[in-house]
Parts: sequence; C-alpha cells; structure tokens
Amino acid sequence: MANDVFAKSLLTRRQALALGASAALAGALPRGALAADEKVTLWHGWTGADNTTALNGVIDTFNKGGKGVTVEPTGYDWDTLFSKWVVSSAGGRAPDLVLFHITELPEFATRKVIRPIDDVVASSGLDLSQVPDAGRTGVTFDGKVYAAPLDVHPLGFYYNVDMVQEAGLDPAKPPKTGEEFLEWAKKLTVKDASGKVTRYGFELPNTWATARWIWFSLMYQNGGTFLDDKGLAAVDSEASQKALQYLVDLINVHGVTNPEVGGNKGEDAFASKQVAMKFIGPWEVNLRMAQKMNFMTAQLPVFGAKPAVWANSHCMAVSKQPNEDKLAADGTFMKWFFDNFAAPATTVGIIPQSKAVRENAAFTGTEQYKYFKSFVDDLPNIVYEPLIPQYLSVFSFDKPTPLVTNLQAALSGSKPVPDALKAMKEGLDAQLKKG
Amino acid sequence: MTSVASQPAGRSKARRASAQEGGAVRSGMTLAAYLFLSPYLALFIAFMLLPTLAAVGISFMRWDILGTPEFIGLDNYRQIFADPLFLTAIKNTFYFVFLTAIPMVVLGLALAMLLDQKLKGTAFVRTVVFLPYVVMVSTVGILWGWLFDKGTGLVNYYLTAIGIEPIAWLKDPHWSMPALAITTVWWTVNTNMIIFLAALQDISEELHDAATLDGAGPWQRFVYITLPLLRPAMALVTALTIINGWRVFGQAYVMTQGGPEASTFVIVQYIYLTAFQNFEMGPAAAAGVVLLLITLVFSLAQMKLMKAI
Repeated sequence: MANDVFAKSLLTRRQALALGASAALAGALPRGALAADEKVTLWHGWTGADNTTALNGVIDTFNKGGKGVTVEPTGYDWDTLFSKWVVSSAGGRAPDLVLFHITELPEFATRKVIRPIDDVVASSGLDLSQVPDAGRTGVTFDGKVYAAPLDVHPLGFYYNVDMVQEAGLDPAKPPKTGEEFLEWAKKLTVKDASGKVTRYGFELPNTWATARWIWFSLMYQNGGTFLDDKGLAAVDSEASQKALQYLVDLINVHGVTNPEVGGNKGEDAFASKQVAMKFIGPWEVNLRMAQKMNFMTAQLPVFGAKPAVWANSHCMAVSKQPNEDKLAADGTFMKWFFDNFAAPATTVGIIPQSKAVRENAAFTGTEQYKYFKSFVDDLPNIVYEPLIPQYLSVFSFDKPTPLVTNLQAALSGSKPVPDALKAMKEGLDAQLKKG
Repeated sequence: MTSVASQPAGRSKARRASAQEGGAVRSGMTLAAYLFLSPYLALFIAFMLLPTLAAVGISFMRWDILGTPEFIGLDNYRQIFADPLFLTAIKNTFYFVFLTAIPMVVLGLALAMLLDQKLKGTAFVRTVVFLPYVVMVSTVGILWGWLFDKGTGLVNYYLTAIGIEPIAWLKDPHWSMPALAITTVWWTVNTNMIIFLAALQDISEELHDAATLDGAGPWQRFVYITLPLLRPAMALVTALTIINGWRVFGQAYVMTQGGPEASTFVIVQYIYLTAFQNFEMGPAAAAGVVLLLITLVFSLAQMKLMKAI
C-alpha cells in the first residue's frame, strides 16, 4: 500500500511528515483509512488563476478528509474541455466527473457522454430538495437527473458609487424601473465643453455575450420567450423587438451608452471610468474588490412588465464509462462538493444552488456577501436560456452565429431592429431544425 | 573508347572496383541522408501527411467523432458552399491575405535592407525586431486589444494627437480586419526579414563594388543587382506569406472572435468551430480540403508569376 502512495508522485516534506505521523497512528485508525484511495478524475473550465486555486484548495481539503476518494482536477478553457471530452469519450478515456454549464447538459446527454445519476444521487444522499425548482429542472433531461446543480450566476447591476454621488444621486436607492434607470444613465453621462462624451452612463458592449444577456432579460421582462411552442425561434416577437429597441434607443436616442466602449478581452471600461454602470454576473465582484473600486450591486431594474433576469449555472455530471465501478466514489465527492460549496462560490463569484449552503455563515459571513446579496434576492426571477441540444452552436460565444451577428448589427445601427430580428429568426430556425 | 579498350586489364579492374566503391559510398551516403531525414519524415508522415489524407477521406463522410463514419459523397461540400458563413469566411480570409501580403513582403525587405547596414547597434536592433516572433498569439491578441481600445488605447492616443478622430478598431466592422492585419504584420514581418537578411548577406560585395565602379548609384544597384539576386528569397517569402495568410486563426480568435458582425470570421475558425463545437467532422474536413486547394492554387500561380518576371 505504501508503495502505491510513493509511486503516485514525489512527496513534499509536509506530506512525508504527515505520512510518518499517519503510520505512527496506524494502530488507532480504522483499517479502511489506510487503504489506497479510489482516484476520481475531474475536468472543469474554471481556468482563471483565482478560480483554479479556490477549486484545488477545496479539493485538497476533501482529499485529506479520509473519505477513501482522491479527486484529481484538471482545468481547460471551456471550448478545449468540450472538444477534448467528446474525443476522449470516443476513445474510452473520459474523465470520471465533469463540471460545466447546465445549458450545455442537453447536448452532452444527447451525445451520450454523460449518464443519468438518479442512482448516484440516491445512494450518496445528495439533497436535491435544497435546490430551487429552476435549478432542478436545469439538470433534468428526458425525465432523468443528469448532474448535481452547484451554483447559479444571474445578471446583476453594478454601479460606481463615487460617480453616483457626484451626480447628486442616492447610491442607497438604485433604480428599480426603466424610467429611473434612464434618469440615472442620463445624469451619469458626462460631456466635455465641446459636447464630446467623456463618460457614458451605461456599458453596453457590442462584443462578447453581455448585450445578448441584457436583451434576453428584457425580452422576458416584456413577456416574450426565446423559443415558441414548436421549439422555433420567437425572437421576432413584439416583446423581443421592444427589448432590443430600448437598448438601441439608449445608444442613438439618449446617447447614454456606446456599443464601441468596453466588452473586449482586456478592456475594462468600468475600472477605467469610461462608464458608470454595467450589468454583469456576480463573478466580477472579486475583481472589483481587488481593484478597490467604490462600487455597489443591485437587482436588475424592471424595464418591462415583470422582473426577469438571465442566469446560468454550473453543474457536475458523471461521464459515461465502459466500467461503472467508480460510481460510489463519484457520488461521495459530488455530495461533499455540493454541501461544501461556500468556499468555491465565494472565490469564483457565484451563488450556491443549495439553500442550506446559501444561508450558511460560511457564505453569508464573507466580505463579498454584501455584493452577492442582490444576486441572491434576484434568484426567484432567473430565466435560463433554452435547454436544447443545439445550445453550443446556437449560443456560441466565439462564432458569428445568427444570434450574435444580428444583435451586433442592430446595436451598431447597420440593420433596423425589426430587420435584424427577422434575419436572426431565420438563421436560428435553420440551426434549430438541424436537430 | 579505344583508350579504354587498350587499358591494361589490371587498371580496368581497379577502376571497376573503385567505381563499385564509389557506388557503395554513394549509396551509403544516400542511406545516411535518409537516416538524417527520417525523424522529420516520420513525424511529417504521422502528424501531417496521414491526417491530411484522413481529412480528405472524412470530407466525404458524415461523422460526429462518437459514431461510425458514413459515406455521403459530395454532400459536405454542397453543405459548406450553401452556408453563407463559409462564403463570408472565404471572402474575409482573402481580404486578410490582400491586406497583409504586400506589407509583409515590402516591409520585410525594407527592414532587412536597413539591418543589413554595418552600423553600430545593428545586432541589438535585429533582436528587437525579431522579438515579437517569440510572443504567443494569445499575448499578442490581448496586447493589441488594449492598444486598439477606443477609449484608452495607445493607437487612438497618437491618432488623436495628430488630429484624427479615435477609431473603434475592433468593434467597427470596417476597421476590424485592418486592425488584425496591422497586428499580424507587427508580429510576423520579422520572419520575412530574416529570410531576406540571409539572402542579402549571400550577395557578393564584389558585385556591388563592380557596379559602383561602373557608375551605378544605390537605386540602380538595388534594381539591377539586389532585386534579381533576391528572386529566390522573394518567391519563398511571398509563397509563405500567402499560405500563412490563408491559415490565419489565432489573432482573429483572440481579438475579435470573428466579429463584429462576422467581419473577421476566417476559414480556419470555421473549420475549428464546425469540427469541435458542432462536432460535424465531415463539413469541417471539406472546408479544410477547400483551404488546401486555395493555398495550392495561390502558391502555384505565384510561383509561375515569379518565374515569368
């Protein structure tokens, strides 16, 4: 047994000492604790330095907990993770556990690279009743649970407190409606003597996914949906047009935002004071704190008839394997991770799905919590993007899809809103019909 | 013939032996040459030739990596040519090649000429010019993303200083591809420079001296001596630049993800996303074959053109 341990890797001095101490205590320990741990491989896409450190730290704690399971995590950027995973599955070398977004779950379930885990949930005692309905629905496909829901990360409202105060507004009373938001945006937009804008009230970048998430939220606030009853795109609906027109008007009519400001990798319009407000997920809380910005967060204002806010979630699934002898070990870690999610949630900047964890002092007692609270308050209003097998190609970040291209065309003014949405629907329908 | 026939038998035998020996040496040398080449050849066959051949095969199949490939004839080719996004990718990539090819060759030559001068500090400047080449594409992309930022970027800072309105380089569909071209030229022109520099150093000083004695000025020496003798290097550089231009991917993927409004979406990104995001290996392989044919046609046309000049 000892040989196995040494064969794994070179030991650090601390590990060697720990091993010596364990040997000395061997008589006092139950026999099973000395048996070689079952190794479980985990692939994830949390590649930011802080995220990886947080995840590895939590996994280290688990590995040292004497549960008879050792988890070996590997991080890839999301695209690499997915392609590598599918190819590895084809070659019979898939990892045991994989962490990804629930919106991608139907695609992986359809491709049969993951297996249903109702049995694992039952045998491990993972308490899914702690998860809100939307989160449970998100990990269910064809009536079977396919993954452990871990967190939720909705869109939220960030604003620069200094700028708000300078504009004579009350940072303790952030806008709750579209009218109030517009008033803030106008007052927070600053022009120089020549009339040139030196700071925009709001960030609405034409690149990346932010504009899509904002438009998506506003569409649902207006009573619209992304798909119709037949599973085809409903993006040309009145609610959708109203939502997108509102955003285009912020640019062209009110001049409180500019799609050319912010959004690209490396550009930080919020920190460089080019904008005063932005809508983004809780994952920016730690960044803003590290930058020592005087900022605050709030729930997304209600622009339409009802509150609604875009969200996504991470989940953990079990890869389909030719041999299922690791299911018990998989379940042991999944349950432990689900129950001890406060630490990674705080560092990564996401909200735990489990009510017990969400309300635990390990989460609510953190210095980040005052910013996370508005996201927690918005949980009843979250809307996930459609859980469809074509998710990755329809909602791709990295491809000029019909969705991205037409949204960009509307925001840049190269297509009127109705034309852009009509073209978007045609392109989306072609993708959706492909199956 | 007579002299050979009249040679004493012993001498002729010795000559035969020596010829045989020469043959043995030659074949020994050929074998050594093949042995020296074999590591590269083995890797080339394993990782380039066989996958390329496999891609040609896959381009006629329906295959999502997980299932069994199924032969479907030319359907994948029909599919990609009916896809407006693929046609956009071809058009965009052509535009990129157009924007980069001439500056890459002209600037590469100009830099080489400059650094071929025997001036103080040339070695240092050569190193500085070559330095961007060792930077990874992701770093280059992020760096130039900052430089091109409309509000805080250095490029717009200087443009404003000379009275030009700031440009939203990476967010304006009209400027995004020129921005990628500028980045690419900065990043890779140094390889062309190195090839030109090596070729320039191969040109004998005596030719220039002789021409100078005959009364040729610097421009005449450049046109009638340097340029003609650089022709092989020029052919190589132009071919490599065009081929690399058609294969552009990293810069576009990191800096613009193909946007805005698909203005920087290139063929390799189409192949990558079709294969590894949509898991449609057939159309992706078909697009790869089309790219191979395009680069082949361009290279052959360019080679012919260079020969004609």
